[in-house]
Amino acid sequence: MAAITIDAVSKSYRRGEFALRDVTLEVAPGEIFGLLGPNGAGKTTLVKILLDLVRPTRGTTSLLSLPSRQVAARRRVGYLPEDHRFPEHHTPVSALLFFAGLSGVAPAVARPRIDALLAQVGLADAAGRKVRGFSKGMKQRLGLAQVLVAEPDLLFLDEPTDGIDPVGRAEIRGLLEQQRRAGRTIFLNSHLLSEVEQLCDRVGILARGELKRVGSVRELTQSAICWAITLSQPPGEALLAELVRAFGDARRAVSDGIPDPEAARTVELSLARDEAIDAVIDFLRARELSIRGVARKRTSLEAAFLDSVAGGGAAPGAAAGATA
Amino acid sequence: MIAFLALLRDTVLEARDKRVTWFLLLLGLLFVVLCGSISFTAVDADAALTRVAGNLGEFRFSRGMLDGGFTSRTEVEVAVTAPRAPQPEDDLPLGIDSLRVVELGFRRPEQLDELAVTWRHFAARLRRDGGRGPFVVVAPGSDEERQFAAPVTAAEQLELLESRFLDAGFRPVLVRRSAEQPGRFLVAVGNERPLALRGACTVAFGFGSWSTPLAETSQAEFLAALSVVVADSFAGFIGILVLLSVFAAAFPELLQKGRFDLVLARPIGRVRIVLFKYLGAVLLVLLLWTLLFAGCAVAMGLATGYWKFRLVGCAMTCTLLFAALYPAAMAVGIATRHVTLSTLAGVGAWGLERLIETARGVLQFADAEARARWQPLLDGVHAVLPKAGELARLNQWLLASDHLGAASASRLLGVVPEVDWAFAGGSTAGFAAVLLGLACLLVARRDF
Repeated sequence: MAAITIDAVSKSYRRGEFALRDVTLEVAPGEIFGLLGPNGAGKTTLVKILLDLVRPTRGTTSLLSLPSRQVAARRRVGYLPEDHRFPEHHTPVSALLFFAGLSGVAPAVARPRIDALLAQVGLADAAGRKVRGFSKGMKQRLGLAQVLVAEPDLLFLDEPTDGIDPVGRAEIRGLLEQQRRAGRTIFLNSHLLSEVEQLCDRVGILARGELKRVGSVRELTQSAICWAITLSQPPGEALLAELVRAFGDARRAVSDGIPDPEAARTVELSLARDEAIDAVIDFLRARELSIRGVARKRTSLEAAFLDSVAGGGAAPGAAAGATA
Repeated sequence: MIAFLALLRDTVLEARDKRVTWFLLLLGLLFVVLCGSISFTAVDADAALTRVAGNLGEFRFSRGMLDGGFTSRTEVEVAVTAPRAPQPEDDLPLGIDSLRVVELGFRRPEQLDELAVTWRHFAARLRRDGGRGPFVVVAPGSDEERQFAAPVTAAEQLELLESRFLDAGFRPVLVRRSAEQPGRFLVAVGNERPLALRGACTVAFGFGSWSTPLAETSQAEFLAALSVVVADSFAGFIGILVLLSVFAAAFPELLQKGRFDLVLARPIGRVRIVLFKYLGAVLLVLLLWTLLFAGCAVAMGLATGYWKFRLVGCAMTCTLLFAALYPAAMAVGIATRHVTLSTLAGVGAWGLERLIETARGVLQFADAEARARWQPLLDGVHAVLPKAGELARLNQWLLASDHLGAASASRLLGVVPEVDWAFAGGSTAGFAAVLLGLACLLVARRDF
């Protein structure tokens, strides 16, 4: 039984613009799933469809085996929207009592939970203050407490560390790890790739409304093994063309605009198998080219993300080197 | 139920957060203190008796505090003796306490007949339309004119004099014609209901710091008038305006991006959210008005010994008016997400109904062609709007039947006109239901 099921979901607007195209995805119970995508990719729309805030044009979704359109599907769900606004007439305690009440949790049950949650997110001292005086970071912490107040099994978090300082981020990562250990499923929308890389079991990359890639962080970052071969002199166009013909890929290394003589003499190739590098070296040596270095590069999540978003190969220069 | 209570509490907190709510509460408290600071000092029932006897030629007719009235004066020369206790030779019935007696002597007895004819016109007009309609010129030679011109009978003269003293608040009233002297009458009046007696006391406000004589008003009428001010002018007008503006903001603010998401992501249906918010606002208004009216009634009772608990019933009337108008504000607030437009919609529906009602009244005086052209349109628009005017009549009905005799109630509050309550209630409920349904539909169908 999947915690989240998205089946061929599309969303288009009256003007014919597509927010989502035929998105299909499953998230297993207890999994932390990260959804990456540039602004306007459709990440928030997808979460809102799952929560029935937005109705899909086509396709179906379900939460914890119940169709999203049913009110009961949201009974065990917590949601932290991006740019959320708490009613300003509330204090943290009254706001959490309000949201707990909407989830059917009686005040007598909610009250001890609220005290514990406020301590956990670092708002115990501000429990009696009006929300209108809160900083963005405080509101974000309160938002997280709001997600957890009804003790949900499934959490949707849209940019949960937005506006929070590095120390606070580490605390929130700890909080999310705690939720993972408690067996809760987390669906995380984030721009912060490092955060997703550290937390998520699986990642999906959404671009222009299409789900481009889905897999574990390891799968995404290893799917394109890249080799960098540094020669004694810059490679000519003819050599690059021959390499492409023989091995399917070859390009000059790019150095982020900073003049780098070594990068100018480096050829990068993506190979399906590690063993193929022997044939490439033989190929170059057969042409009496002098080799100064060979390095195996592992694509970072950022590179995989940029690659998927661009719809082409891994973005050069975004790769972090890992010597073979 | 837990979700409803959560939304109700949220509504209370939201209203409490607005300054205008505190302004309304403060104003309400001032009214309670005002009611609690009233005291009456009896002047002299004999003085009131002498004044009424000396003003027999003056007919005052009131359509109610809100609708004005008219006064007619007929020249009558009458000699009034000083009030005295009954004497055995007066031959009055035994067993009536505290009777006071005056003797009236009409210098020109025919003036009493002229007064009786004027009284006939008044009575006919009241019977016709409660005095609300225009003056009608009686056609010469018609049955009505013959009735008005018919000779005044002796019984009618007695009935006229009796009604003048009853109207002033005396109970009982006995009028007897002198057998020996034509145009001379003995009038014996009781004062069973001193609160209802007009012109017999002074009223003080602010715990005695400011006082004024009540020349033409009884204590009961004065307190009824104050109740009308509280129910109609304060709660029914200022209060509704303030509360509409407070609650009209609720939906545009709730639908703000990032705020409604937090609510919609909870296991509660959209229609239920709208209905619960509406119900919460109506219940809160009912609670506010009940506290205000109960506070005024208790304060008034403690200060004057005059327990006017029917005033508390006006809380329901004012709440019904709010409940009828608020869906208009809700629907526009949800459609536009604009606080000002939402407020204007609620107040506008109310203002439009009042405007149409006034236009219908004015149209009665227009010529037949104008009436034929405009009446169907005005009636059609009026039919679909909430009946604020009729709801205000409910207040009149409640207050008029409390501690006031029929004549005093009519004089002060006007004759409550015939109202088709089924139509008024049905069309008002229909207006609210349609707009509430529209509000639910807008929320249910929209992406957030």
